[in-house]
Amino acid sequence: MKNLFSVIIITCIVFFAGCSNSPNPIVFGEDNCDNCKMTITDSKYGAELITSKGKIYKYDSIECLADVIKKNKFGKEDISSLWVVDFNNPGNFISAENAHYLKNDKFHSPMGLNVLAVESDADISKIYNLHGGEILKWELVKNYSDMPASKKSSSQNCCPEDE
Amino acid sequence: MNKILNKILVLLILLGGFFILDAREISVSKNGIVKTIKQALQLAENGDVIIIHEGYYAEGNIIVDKSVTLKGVNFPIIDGKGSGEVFTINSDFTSLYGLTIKNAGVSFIAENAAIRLNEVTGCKIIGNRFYNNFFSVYLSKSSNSIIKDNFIKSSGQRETNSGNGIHLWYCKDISIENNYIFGHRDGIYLEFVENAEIKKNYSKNNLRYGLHFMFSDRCVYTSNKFENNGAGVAVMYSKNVEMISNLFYNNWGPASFGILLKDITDSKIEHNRFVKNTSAIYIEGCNRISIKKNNFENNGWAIKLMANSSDNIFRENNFISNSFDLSTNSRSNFNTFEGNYWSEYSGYDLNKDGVGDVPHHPVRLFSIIVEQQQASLILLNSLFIKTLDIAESVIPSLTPEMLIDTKPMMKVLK
Repeated sequence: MKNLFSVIIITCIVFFAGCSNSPNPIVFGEDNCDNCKMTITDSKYGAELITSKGKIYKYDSIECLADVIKKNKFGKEDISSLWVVDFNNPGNFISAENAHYLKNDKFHSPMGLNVLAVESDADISKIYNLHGGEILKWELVKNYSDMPASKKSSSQNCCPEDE
Repeated sequence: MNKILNKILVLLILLGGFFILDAREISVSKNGIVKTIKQALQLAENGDVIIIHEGYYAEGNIIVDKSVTLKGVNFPIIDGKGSGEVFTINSDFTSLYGLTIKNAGVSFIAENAAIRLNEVTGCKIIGNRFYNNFFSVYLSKSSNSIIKDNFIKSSGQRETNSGNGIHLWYCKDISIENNYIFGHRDGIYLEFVENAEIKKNYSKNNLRYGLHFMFSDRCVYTSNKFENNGAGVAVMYSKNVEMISNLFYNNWGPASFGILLKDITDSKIEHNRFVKNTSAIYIEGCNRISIKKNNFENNGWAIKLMANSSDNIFRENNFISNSFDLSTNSRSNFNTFEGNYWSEYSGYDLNKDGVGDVPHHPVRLFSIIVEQQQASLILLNSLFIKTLDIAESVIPSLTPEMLIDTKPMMKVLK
């Protein structure tokens, strides 16, 4: 009887854990980005999208997640939550909507937009005071179209003796 | 008259002096007068040659801001001791020959390199050896430089704490030739690069990609060898790329590719050999690529062509003994297949012109099933699947009807 009881409890825990709406850790060096197909390797960047059905999509960078959102690859009602990796705690996720972002070419993010995310206001001002850059909110990051377009936006500061 | 002669004489003497200065050599050795490279750099002027004799030099970060040539005799060892960068080059027309550079430090934020070229032009890195560096050669906003005949090896265990062998960021007109690159994250990495020529390199056992292209237009890579890299070669978001006469060998794994092509337009893939790759070419979002005269042998998938690609031309290729010659996720076809040799082709040639009389359907029904149900791969060689495939090739119902090679060749193309 006691055994049966513990089996039920364990089943319940597993069941509810399976249903939880929290991100799944990225296996760096093995998982592939669902947008750009690259192997995800840099544990300071990365993002996840969880659909309302509970399916998890993994991305190698904030800009890849932003790209998917911008191109409306998922309907608004299909998205349950969005997560980005905390630059200060590699591999750990924070909510994309509440994260603080910094765009600075000193920090090379995998897809070249050079955006990082941290959890708190204090964290972002700490990095900003040291390195400068441009502080962004999720709404703005989302609108930075990346991928081929990101090239256009950043190619102005290309090679010194350009054109 | 005399005055003019005098002037010419003075000018000649000055010029002579200049040439003598130009050829000045500073010798660095453990038992010589100049004992460190840093000391030599302080003494040096633009155009000088610094000869570094055999020995062990650990001087921390060496910053070069004069246009000098650093030449090693018998490969002197310059050790970064696992912290920071080794050579930082801030001056144009600087050259490094014959050095052994070790242990540039792994760092969380800084991308430390054995040699970094920082916003310079006209530099040469030739015939050096690199061991266990975080990044080995790192070019940032530089142009007109040559990286040649280097031996680059790292023993990176995990991708997260290993950098790239040759890394180019915002560069132009760079030639990368005859380098051996082993055990880095990406062997050669290009981001926002224009006009790079990558020739005769050998990239092997790198953790992620042998060569990785991003946003890099008008680049050419020829006669390179990419072997046993974690995920093969990735060419992404670029235009006008030429990939010619390369060998892609044994890039094997659940997410490995010979070449991963994503958002590539107006490019050429010709005369390459793809042997034993999980997927020889994966094509997504690509337009107007000419895939011609390549050999695909013993791959899992020779070509995976995604629906969002169009106007690509596949001509005169050999498809020999691949598990799947072609798979796609679409029923329509906007690409051209013509005059290829398919070892799977079972048609006939009655008029003996070397061209098969009935068109070839390269997409097997089974490849569509596998696309949707990976686990069904276990049935690969079953009789049932063979029967299904034959039925499907006679009356196509699920495979793209229009995806056919109208002129399949009867013999392997040379």
